[in-house]
Amino acid sequence: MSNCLEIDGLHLSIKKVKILNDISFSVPYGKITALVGHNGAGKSTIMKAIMGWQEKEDGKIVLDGVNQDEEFLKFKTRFSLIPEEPLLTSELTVYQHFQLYGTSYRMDEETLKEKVDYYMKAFEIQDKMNEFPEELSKGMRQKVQTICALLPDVPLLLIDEPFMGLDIYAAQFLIDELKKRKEQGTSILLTTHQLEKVKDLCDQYVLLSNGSISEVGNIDDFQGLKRRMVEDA
Amino acid sequence: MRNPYPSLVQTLSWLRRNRFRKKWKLYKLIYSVVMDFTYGIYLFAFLVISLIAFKNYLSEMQPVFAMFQSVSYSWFITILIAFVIRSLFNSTRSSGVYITSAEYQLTLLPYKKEQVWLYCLVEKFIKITIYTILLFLALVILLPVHSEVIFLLCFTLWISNLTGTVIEWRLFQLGGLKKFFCVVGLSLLLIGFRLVIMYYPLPVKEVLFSSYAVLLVILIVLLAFSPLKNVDWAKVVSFGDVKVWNMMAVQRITKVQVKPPTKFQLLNQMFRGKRAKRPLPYKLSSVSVRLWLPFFKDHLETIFKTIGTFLLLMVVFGFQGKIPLQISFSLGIVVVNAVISSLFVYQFQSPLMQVLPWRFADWYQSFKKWYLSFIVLYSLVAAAMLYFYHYSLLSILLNIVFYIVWLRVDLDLAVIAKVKSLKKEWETGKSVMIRFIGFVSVFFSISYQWISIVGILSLVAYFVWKGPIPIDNEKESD
Repeated sequence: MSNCLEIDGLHLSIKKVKILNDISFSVPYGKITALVGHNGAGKSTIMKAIMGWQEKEDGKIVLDGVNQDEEFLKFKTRFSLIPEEPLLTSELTVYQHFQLYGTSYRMDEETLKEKVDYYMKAFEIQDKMNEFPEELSKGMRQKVQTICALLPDVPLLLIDEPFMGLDIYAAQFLIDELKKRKEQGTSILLTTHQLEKVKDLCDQYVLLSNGSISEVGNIDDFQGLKRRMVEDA
Repeated sequence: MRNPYPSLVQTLSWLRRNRFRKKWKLYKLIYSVVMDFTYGIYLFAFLVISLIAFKNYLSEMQPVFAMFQSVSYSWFITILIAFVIRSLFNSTRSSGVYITSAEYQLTLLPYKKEQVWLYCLVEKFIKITIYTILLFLALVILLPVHSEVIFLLCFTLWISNLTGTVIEWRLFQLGGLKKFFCVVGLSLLLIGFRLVIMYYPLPVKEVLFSSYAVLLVILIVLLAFSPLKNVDWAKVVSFGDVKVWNMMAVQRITKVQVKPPTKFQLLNQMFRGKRAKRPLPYKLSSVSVRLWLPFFKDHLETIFKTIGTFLLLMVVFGFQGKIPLQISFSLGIVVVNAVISSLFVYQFQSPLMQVLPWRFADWYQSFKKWYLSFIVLYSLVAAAMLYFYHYSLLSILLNIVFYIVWLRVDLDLAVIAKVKSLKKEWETGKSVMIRFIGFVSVFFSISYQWISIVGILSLVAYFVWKGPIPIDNEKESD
């Protein structure tokens, strides 16, 4: 089994409007795949379908050998998400959010503490451990959300606009961390408009257009990809 | 060099005039939508005639007012205490002295914060005085009561409102639990004081006048000692904007509500202190307890409607006879558990839960802690209804124990059914059958006590043998 994520024949409509039409692609283990396309192409919808947030009409999604339709609870333990906007609740402090993620993913408490210390120092927010989200700036909230998603060891990391709201140091750290995870065998699927930033990071791309896949290719053909995106517009 | 800015009084007066013009425009717009000129004339005429008729009606109630006059001092003490307690509770959502963002911005110019605050305070005092005078005049005209009594009533209202304003200001600055204990503690003290006066033969007139003196002293002390120390101006301005721009008629007609930010609300503040920031026990059931509170706050309407339906069912049906009583007991459990189990799974539709693994068993464990309150409510209502029907204490006890155990089991089964539908699985016939047997057992348990005994023994035996009913298959999620 060389593919971490396999999507086959995915169809999805929202209020009878066809959003995704026969989407099929796979993400191998230890590879980074970029989902690219214009606004409204269906990138975020594919992410939501993978998470089970949006119900699909047809198709199969298999993650680390677990079929979404057959073992949904197990499926949900196999990925984590860095969303475009932080999904933090005002009821929990920063550290309590980490505890929520740690306990949900059944992480060992010692491992959680080590990772939290490491990431908080790397993102330079170690003094914000006991603050509530509304006491943080928007950028800090995004850093906290990024750390939450990086804590568990999962086969697939989903990222919606990886560098949104992060300063250059945090963005660079995230790039290095994603490369490290890739070497450890984690698969990463990200959506982005910032092709320049991810071209050195990704191995392959999936170009979407109006809910369908235009092409799937190697990121080496980056200049060609940029040209085709402009032509599609 | 001559100060280019006008005086504070001039500036604030200009602000007030502009505010009045804005509000007047809004009211004109709203009322032009709701009524026209002819309708307005008729309404005005109707109001005048109603007032005259009301005055005639009141003059016929001369004996009632004469009786009131004889015990007025005692009533005034009650009014005084009630208004002070009202101020204590108002301090949770009102700063007493209203400073809006417009006034606060003046402090960015060379106007002192203290002076702006003092102006707003004096303005409030003047408003209270004017309203009290108008009330006095209205009551003197309408009521067949001696003007001295009306004067004393208005004086009571005036002094309690003045002191209440400053009490609100000082208490408003306190946060969270400190405020809660002050408000509740002082309220209980005042109620205790009122009860003491009621039961002990104290000279009521002297007590009343002493209370006025005490309130005046409190007013002076609260004003004299650092009233502007440790003031959270962002909070004051947020609430001030809401108070000043909260035009009820406009809100009712446009259905647009003006509310202060959630972070400043008392319930929020009570759970934000140092204790709340400490790391939680490292168990999902402990972490998730926190997340149920905001969820319930968002669904308060549903919860109140469900409790209302349950009480109507139990109490209204319950008094119609034994058969309706039996129906209400069994149906009450089914209806409430249906709503509660739906609420439980609805938590998993939130964006945060969509990105986390679903550990139903852990979340259910924290959820059950909140369900305890319904078990208590059900037990109390059921016990009261059975007592009304002259059941013996032993029968009531046996039945209540059975209902408590069954409530929990039925909720487990209802939640399992909802969790299965979330996982796109079908509910088994076995659980449907068990719930039906439970429903029928509760129905007949009122007439046949042995059913309660058998029910308790069966359920206890099952739990001893098999343990608690698993909400989800833990292996599935690993």
